[in-house]
Amino acid sequence: MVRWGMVIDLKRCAGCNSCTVTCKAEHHTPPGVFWAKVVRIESGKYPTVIRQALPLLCMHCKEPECEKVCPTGATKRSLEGIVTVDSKACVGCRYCAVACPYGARYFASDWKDYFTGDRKPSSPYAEYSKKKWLEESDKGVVSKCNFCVERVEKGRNPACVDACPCEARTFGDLDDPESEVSQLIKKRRGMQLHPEYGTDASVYYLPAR
Amino acid sequence: MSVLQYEDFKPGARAQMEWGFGGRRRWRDGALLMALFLGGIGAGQFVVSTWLIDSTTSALVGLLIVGVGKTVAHLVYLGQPWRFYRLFLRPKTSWVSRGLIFMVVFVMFGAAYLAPDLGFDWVSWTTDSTLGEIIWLAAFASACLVMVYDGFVLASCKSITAWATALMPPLFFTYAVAGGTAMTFLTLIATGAETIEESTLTDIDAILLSAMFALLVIYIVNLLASTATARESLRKLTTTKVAIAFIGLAIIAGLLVPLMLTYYHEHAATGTLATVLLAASAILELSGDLSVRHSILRAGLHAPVFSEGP
Amino acid sequence: MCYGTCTIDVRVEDGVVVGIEGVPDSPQGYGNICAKGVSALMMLYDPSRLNYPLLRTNPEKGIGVDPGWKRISWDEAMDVLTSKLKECMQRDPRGLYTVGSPTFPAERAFNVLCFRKAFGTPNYYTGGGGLHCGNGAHMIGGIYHASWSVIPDFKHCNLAVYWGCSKGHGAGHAANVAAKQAADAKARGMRLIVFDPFLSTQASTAEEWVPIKAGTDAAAALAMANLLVNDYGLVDREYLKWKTNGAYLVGPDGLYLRDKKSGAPLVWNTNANKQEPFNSINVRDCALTGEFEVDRVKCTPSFQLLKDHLKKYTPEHASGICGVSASTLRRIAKDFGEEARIGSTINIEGKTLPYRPVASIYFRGSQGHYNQAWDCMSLVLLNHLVGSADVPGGALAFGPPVHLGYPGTGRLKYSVEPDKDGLLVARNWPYAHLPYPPPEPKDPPERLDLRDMFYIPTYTTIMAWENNEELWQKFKIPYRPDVMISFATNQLMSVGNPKTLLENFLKKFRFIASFNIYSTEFEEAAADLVLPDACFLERYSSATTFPTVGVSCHATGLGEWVWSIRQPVIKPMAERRAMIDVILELSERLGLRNKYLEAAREWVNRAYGGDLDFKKVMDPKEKLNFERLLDIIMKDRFGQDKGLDWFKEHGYLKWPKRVEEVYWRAFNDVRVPVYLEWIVRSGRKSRAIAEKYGVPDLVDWSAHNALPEWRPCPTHSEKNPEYDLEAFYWRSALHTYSMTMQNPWLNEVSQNDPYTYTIQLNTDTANRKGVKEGDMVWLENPKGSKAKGRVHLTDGIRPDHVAIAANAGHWGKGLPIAKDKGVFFNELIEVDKEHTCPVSLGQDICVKVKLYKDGGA
Ligand SMILES: Nc1nc2c(c(=O)[nH]1)N[C@H]1C(S)=C(S)[C@@H](COP(=O)(O)OP(=O)(O)OC[C@H]3O[C@@H](n4cnc5c(=O)[nH]c(N)nc54)[C@H](O)[C@@H]3O)O[C@H]1N2
Ligand SMILES: Nc1nc2c(c(=O)[nH]1)N[C@H]1C(S)=C(S)[C@@H](COP(=O)(O)OP(=O)(O)OC[C@H]3O[C@@H](n4cnc5c(=O)[nH]c(N)nc54)[C@H](O)[C@@H]3O)O[C@H]1N2
Ligand code: SF4
Ligand code: SF4
Ligand code: SF4
Ligand code: SF4
Ligand code: SF4
Ligand SMILES: [Mo]
Repeated sequence: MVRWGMVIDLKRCAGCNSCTVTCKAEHHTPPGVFWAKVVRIESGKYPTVIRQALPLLCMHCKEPECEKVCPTGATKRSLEGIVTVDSKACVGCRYCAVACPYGARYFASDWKDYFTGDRKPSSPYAEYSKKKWLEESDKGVVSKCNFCVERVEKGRNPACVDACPCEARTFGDLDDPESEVSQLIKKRRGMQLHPEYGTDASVYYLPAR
Repeated sequence: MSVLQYEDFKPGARAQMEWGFGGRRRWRDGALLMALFLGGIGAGQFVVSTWLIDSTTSALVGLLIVGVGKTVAHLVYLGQPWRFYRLFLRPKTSWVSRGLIFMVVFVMFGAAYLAPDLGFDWVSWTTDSTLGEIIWLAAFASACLVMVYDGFVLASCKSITAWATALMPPLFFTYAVAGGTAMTFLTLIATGAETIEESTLTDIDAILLSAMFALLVIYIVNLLASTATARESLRKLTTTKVAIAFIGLAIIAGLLVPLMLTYYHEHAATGTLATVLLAASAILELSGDLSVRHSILRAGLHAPVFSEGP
Repeated sequence: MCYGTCTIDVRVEDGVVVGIEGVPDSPQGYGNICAKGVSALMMLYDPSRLNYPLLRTNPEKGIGVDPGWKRISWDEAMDVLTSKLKECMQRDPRGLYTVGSPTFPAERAFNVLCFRKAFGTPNYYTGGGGLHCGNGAHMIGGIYHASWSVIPDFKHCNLAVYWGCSKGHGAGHAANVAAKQAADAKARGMRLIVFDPFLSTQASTAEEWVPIKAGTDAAAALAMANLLVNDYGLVDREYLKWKTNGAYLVGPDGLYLRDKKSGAPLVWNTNANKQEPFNSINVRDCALTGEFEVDRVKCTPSFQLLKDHLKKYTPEHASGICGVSASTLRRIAKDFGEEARIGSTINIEGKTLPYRPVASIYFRGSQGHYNQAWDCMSLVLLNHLVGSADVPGGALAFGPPVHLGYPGTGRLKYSVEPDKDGLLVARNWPYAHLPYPPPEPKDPPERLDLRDMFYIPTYTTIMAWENNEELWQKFKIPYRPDVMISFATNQLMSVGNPKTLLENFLKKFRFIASFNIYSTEFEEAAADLVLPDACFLERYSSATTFPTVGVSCHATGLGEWVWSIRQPVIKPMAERRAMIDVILELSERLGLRNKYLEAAREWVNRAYGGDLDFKKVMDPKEKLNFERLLDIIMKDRFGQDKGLDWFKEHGYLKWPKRVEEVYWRAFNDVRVPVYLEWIVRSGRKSRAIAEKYGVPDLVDWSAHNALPEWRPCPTHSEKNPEYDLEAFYWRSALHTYSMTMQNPWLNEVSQNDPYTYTIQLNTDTANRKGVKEGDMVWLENPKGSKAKGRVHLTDGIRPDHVAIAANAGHWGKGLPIAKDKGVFFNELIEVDKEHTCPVSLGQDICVKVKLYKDGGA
């Protein structure tokens, strides 16, 4: 069985936020909703300081907290390991958003225009965007990164993987020991975020140093 | 002026923003707090009123607070209220599902139990009959579950260290009983009931208040001894705007003052004054109850995604 | 949305542009795309975009003054512009000032340069570009590498030392391509050391961050050079002998000794023990050091002069200036010299080449100072001491200084060549004058910025100095600013103090027309006529990759060249019109058709070689049309079958790079100067002109020397201890100059980034000043100019510095998203003689400030 996963090489990532914006463009997420984002971490005292960018997205946990707590069953983990929200079944209770340890989930009460903040689209593109968003998600529900399942089904990479200028992201099958992702994890000691929660995340990070 | 950095882009501990008046500050989000609050005090009131006081009116008020108040609050909060029925689908894993089922069960049995006293005398039981007792037991048990489930909901959030503690259910439970007691008291005063069993109530109250105080102290010590995120939560509880709710309203106004008042009322010159003092103390307690829930929601910080510092 | 011009695929559904993605097959971006690129969608559909020509109704100009825009038709707009230009032509065509865009350098040529030439004015400049990034850096890059800039050979380099530049994190040159190549290099094991006062994004990706004081790079680099030359002896003597002028004999007057017959500079032939022209075949070996006598004149090889000159730059001395410990400088110098593996070779595609896997790389950060010409020279010198220039592993020219022809046609052929002194001459160069040999200083100068009486500068700010009128009179310049045409630049925000520029210069124009896609601060304060341009998704752009701007998009090292044509994906919306179409129509209206074609011919042929003549291909009556011009150019370069139609179908054309093109230095007999003798000569000429017209102290002529030195910026000698922080700005990968702040996606991400919209202040300094994270503070320079912003505390900055990202802090009403976001730095930059590099006349952009809380004193 395939288990889709992603490896993000922190040595390569420069924190450019292309993933953040590409995901927006791909999924038409409204203002304030970031399926992908980059958090900046600084540690140490001058002059021995380390600054690191940490790109985040849904970890597509094997044991997803969000699925566990979801009272409606709207959140589901597919056989191929992609955790999705059925926007037609979600009631917008946000339990999942609170329970997810990775801040991956966003509640949006409605679509809003990026320029005006209104519900009325300000351009033909905004109109298109609104339509797409309401098709893919909905008003008053929670949404999150879906591993670009619609692209993956067509055999393509997720949008953020293709866009990343530093080619820091690799997508593939974690269950296949020969896949690039598995090899990278093995060779570079890939790590999951918060393994102690037992979520068994499908997004791995390769250390920068 | 420009919006500051969103919470979720911050490298350190992140405030949970979805429950209660969180970082996003949508007014409807506050309804969740009300739902928790009303659930707690309503169920508490039912329990206290039926078990210790035996006041049908007060029990009914409690039942209505849950059946109507909490339900409406939940519906207001939901992004898609028309799909509310879906909330019951996953009791196996989800505490919210469980809690809401408890709530329905409680409302059903509670109503059934009170039915004979409310003029629905065609039912085949009375409050005192064995069947009535059984119904009461069921209502009582489910009310207790309603009182405690939100503690489990919060405690199930692993990354929120200020919540993920075994203290949460007892804390919420104790507060629910206390809130229920206060509500009972107020209801009795309001309806001018003759048989105000002041001493029973004040005794429970004193015990409860002390228990709550002890729980809060343990909670704080627990936060102190826990992770950096928990300490950050504590900092938030004690030094930011949340401190007004937590220290000011919850601890001082909601705990210490009522304790004093409860103690003082025995020495009050007149009965009326004593009643007024007790009423004041009850109102303060309720506001403390609300504030504690509010503060705890606000103090909910997710551990940093990357690593938990020492 | 930057001149990286990555190849993109744009998805259009029902006439609506709905998605932008990279093209994986194109070496111009490898299919990757940055945040700005994706966001172009939001620029296309921004409701604040200009849709109609606008005419100013309020005659008063100024910051904060409402221009009273009136919507007019294109016919009216063209009439107004034509009549203003006709009047100008009658008065003196030189009164026309054209201002080009650094964003679209390729189009600038057709829009601005060709029109300017056809019209007959020498006056132009390029937004803040050149002043902030060009004069020192580009010219030194041109002199030493025949290129705009340098970049490590990512495929082979083992140790790169960066001095204030972004090359490999998504900003800077060829942003996207370099980001991927740098990531590959890191994965391979390339080490990176970054000298920067700020733990910049680039520095954060490095093995080592060296927090250096701003404007002191030359001191550090010269100390390292001193160590390499005088202490460690880690220099590539063969390279110095044959690839530099290190062996050229210099007399007591500071000039070369020359062969009586040929005039060629002399070297000391150590086999024959006598002088000989440098290019004589008898010279098998020559002296780099020593003292000799030629015709009773004492002389020394120029390398000896450099060697002696460097001695005073001890690491201890440098340490006192630049705040980096002497031991660090020693360690890095030694590392650099040893890692250079002097003498080693590598075999690439069957050719044996020198292998020098180290590179010293610089750009805007280290150049943005009073001493910029010498800063850049000192930094680039490190490569030339160890012989790591344009060889595998070393510092490579950016883009294609050498291209041996498109395989199909052999066209598009140019190379570097030596001048009579054997020094490197670039052939493929974007600016109007070559970096070397220097143009003859003009007596009297003709340009309003006096640039033509100098020899290095591309632009100057002299036209905006307070005393400009006095200077114009003294230099007998007979005309004054009349009409300005500005293309895609927000001068008011990009040049320097906006008030200075506006009062001293812009207000002197009778009429200013500006092509923009927004009404920005510049339009609102200064323009009379605003013309709504089509944005890059709505119009044709000429070659985005070749010839010259190739520097900004081609990958480093072997791989492929690429030529792409950016094409409109949708028709211009509303009444937007592509600027080039307007310029061509304007040329027709003014009767400049043939002159325009002549100018275009000259430009195209100079830029890529060849002998294309539009007039031969076109019917004399044929109206000017950009698509047609493009078609002609394409066919000329790539063959009859590869006209515009071919490009419409395929988008881009690529072909393999050759070893001789990438590592061209080994294949071309050209030298570079370790001793800039010609500066002495040219400097004397310029100085003589200045003296002749009674302005002897126009600039500090004592800096016009042959050897690099460190000179302090005005900020370094600030006496008042209140002004205790050195401020400077840096580029965010999220933005292109000032224009992208209006993009709501980028804006939102920027707001969530702790750096982009803030003032970065060292945590300890902040504690000392009682400033907390998020506080609103003022920065004020000694002249009282101020900038305001929110503080972000970080340990990643020198305690005596503050950094500001990008060019934000808009106030224009036409940019509602960008308005009041971030910090506007340039208010702090003084535009005057004291803040102008005396050699390159570039702008000094560092400034001493005091910092205090908003509301405080
Ligand atoms: N504080 C600060 N100052 C700087 C810099 C900095 O980073 N910070 N950078 C300096 C450097 S190196 C440079 S090169 C300069 C750059 O300086 P400028 O070139 O002046 O850059 P912008 O301010 O972005 O102005 C570009 C203008 O082009 C417009 N525009 C965008 N697309 C189009 C188009 O398709 N057609 C037309 N007609 N207009 C268009 C935008 O609306 C914007 O007003 O700034 C210099 N000044
Ligand atoms: N994303 C993006 N890419 C761009 C552009 C853009 O606007 N956005 N603009 C393009 C243009 S026109 C240009 S000119 C280039 C500029 O590209 P770069 O020259 O690479 O400019 P910056 O990225 O600003 O990097 C300058 C660095 O120098 C540091 N610095 C400042 N002062 C000093 C100093 O005195 N010494 C040292 N050692 N460091 C110092 C700053 O902290 C900063 O990190 O980028 C081009 N590419
Ligand atoms: S696009 Fe790639 S390099 Fe940029 S922040 Fe995201 S993961 Fe990092
Ligand atoms: S990261 Fe969060 S939202 Fe994603 S699967 Fe895991 S728990 Fe669920
Ligand atoms: S918000 Fe939707 S997906 Fe999340 S827990 Fe509630 S019903 Fe499930
Ligand atoms: S995988 Fe797709 S949905 Fe997820 S962050 Fe990347 S682009 Fe967004
Ligand atoms: S680097 Fe420049 S050209 Fe390439 S995608 Fe980004 S903005 Fe566009
Ligand atoms: Mo620039």
